[in-house]
Amino acid sequence: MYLEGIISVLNPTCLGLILGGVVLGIIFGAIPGLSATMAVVLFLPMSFGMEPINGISLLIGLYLGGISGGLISAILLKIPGTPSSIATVFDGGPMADKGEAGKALGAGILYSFIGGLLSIFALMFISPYLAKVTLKFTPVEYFSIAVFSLTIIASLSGKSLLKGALGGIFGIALSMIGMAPLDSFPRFTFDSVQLLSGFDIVVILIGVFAVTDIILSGFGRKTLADKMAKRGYSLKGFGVSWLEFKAQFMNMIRSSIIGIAIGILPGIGGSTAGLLAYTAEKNSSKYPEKFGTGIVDGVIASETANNAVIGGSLIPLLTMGIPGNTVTAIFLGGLMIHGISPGPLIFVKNGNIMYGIFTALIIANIFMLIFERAGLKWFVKLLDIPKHILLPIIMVMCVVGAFSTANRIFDVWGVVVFGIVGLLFKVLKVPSTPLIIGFILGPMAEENLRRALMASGDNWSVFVTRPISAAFLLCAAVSIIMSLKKEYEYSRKTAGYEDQESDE
Amino acid sequence: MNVKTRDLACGVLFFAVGIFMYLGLDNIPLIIENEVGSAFVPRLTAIALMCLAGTLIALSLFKKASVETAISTDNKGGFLTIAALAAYVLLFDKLGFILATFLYLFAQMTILSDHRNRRLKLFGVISATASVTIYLLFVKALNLILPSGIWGRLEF
Repeated sequence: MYLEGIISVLNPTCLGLILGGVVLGIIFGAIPGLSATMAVVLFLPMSFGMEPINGISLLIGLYLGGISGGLISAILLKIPGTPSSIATVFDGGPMADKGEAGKALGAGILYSFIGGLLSIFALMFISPYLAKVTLKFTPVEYFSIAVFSLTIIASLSGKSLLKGALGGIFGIALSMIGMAPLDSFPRFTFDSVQLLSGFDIVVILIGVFAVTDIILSGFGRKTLADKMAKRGYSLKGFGVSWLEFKAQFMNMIRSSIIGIAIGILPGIGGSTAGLLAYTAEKNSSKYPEKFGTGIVDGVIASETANNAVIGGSLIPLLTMGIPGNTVTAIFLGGLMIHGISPGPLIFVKNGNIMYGIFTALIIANIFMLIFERAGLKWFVKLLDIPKHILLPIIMVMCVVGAFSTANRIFDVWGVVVFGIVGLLFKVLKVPSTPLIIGFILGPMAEENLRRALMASGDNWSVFVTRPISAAFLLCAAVSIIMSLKKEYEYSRKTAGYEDQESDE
Repeated sequence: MNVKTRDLACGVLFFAVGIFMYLGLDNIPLIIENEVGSAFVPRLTAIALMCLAGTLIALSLFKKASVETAISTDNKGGFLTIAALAAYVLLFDKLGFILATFLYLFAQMTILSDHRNRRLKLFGVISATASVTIYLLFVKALNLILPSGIWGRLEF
């Protein structure tokens, strides 16, 4: 059965489909607004007419390439190509500014590969055990995870915790526009049909990152050409020396575990995994103040975790038939069309397909590594294009991405409005990352809070009486206290500095 | 803008959003029994927004007015960029993707360039090539839908 599965993938047709899927996926991932999900959706009908393993291999290539491709625009353009690469922007962008685009990309590609590979091994060897643990998670635990994840806002608030919290809550408020979870009651829609479905995360991401950037370039157009001249890039291997690799070992392992765990839990997603891994690395680092200034640690944490989500998300899908995100839901459809029913018996009934999927995942991961590394010297050429030409073209791609999310002009207006919101945030010195985190996690927290209370008969004590939930809430409380302490110490230091200045 | 004024403006703005949000929750009924309802979390969010914004206002009132080093900005370039973006979205549906994109690209490149690198002929060629290539790539190769507008009469 093992050999049959492996051999079914090792033929020119299947290998060609995996390669094509990876290349197309990378392109989709690299273009802001287009995502791995869109790539898989577009090519799903094409996979129906193929042999089961060929069709599934194509989808695997697209999924893997789509998640990995996001790092290219995140580093070179400071615009996350997919929501999964939000955290890559924080240090990848500044690294490119310092002339280390090659190093950032190289490290990002290498650790994407490692994160992906470790998650595939997790899928192959420990998936049934991991799946059993996650079955114990109810809305109570999901709510507590969301609350804990929201506390990462504190670590990503920059100099002002208060403004970071305001940005995060504003993001939660934005996520409430549209139909409410459970009862679908319209909120803040002002009788507009367009607002019923709320805003897509892609629209907010493009607005806050890309449109704000292009507007700011307009305000700073006098220095645009000079900025261009200062940029450069170095390119050698994967940008990480053996010493650096050893130093980043714990970061790699921690980020992989976070990615796999987040992947297994339905409904959380790669963006949260990247952000959580980035925050975990920042908080455990000996030099947390350097994060955000362009250090490779941040890129490694984010990219390892978001690729580790891939294998993680396939664990509940294949072992229990539970899709954890949109891509795996489409995957489920693809498997069922071919007569494969995921579930505990999949190893018995379709063992050869399962081992074929494992092989396809490993091959797709290797193709991703080779193709992205080979294309690296071409990707960095983007930096050579004058900004006054490049930025408008990126803007057009963003508009296409925004329009394609639901084929409506409303979303295109949305990106412009959120671009202006992002500009306002810059002017008022409010960090925009908490807005994104609030927008992603707000709905998860609300929906699970309401589900948990409904199931427990409006009993609030369930959140502290269930051990896993209580542990996450405790971690959230500790995280908030630590952040407040840091903020207090920082404000005392700054106050002392200001007093000294005024005395002088 | 000095730091005190900026923080005050920030606090007032978020406080106003909080009030607006709170007032917009009056008509949300409780539909499901044994449940907090669709207004509960938004109400909590609005209160949190008002509390934090109130704290920021209070802190900024006690803050000494200090002026940050001003960074020179080109307001004309910024506002022209916003105007070009708004015009692009307005024309996107009416003129169609190709024509609206061509006009936007040309205008935006002209806005962002200066006397050292403003090459209008080159901008024209790049705008035309990019708009047609992107359209063909997404519509013909990837089967995505983009507005054809008045350009729709022409077939590629």
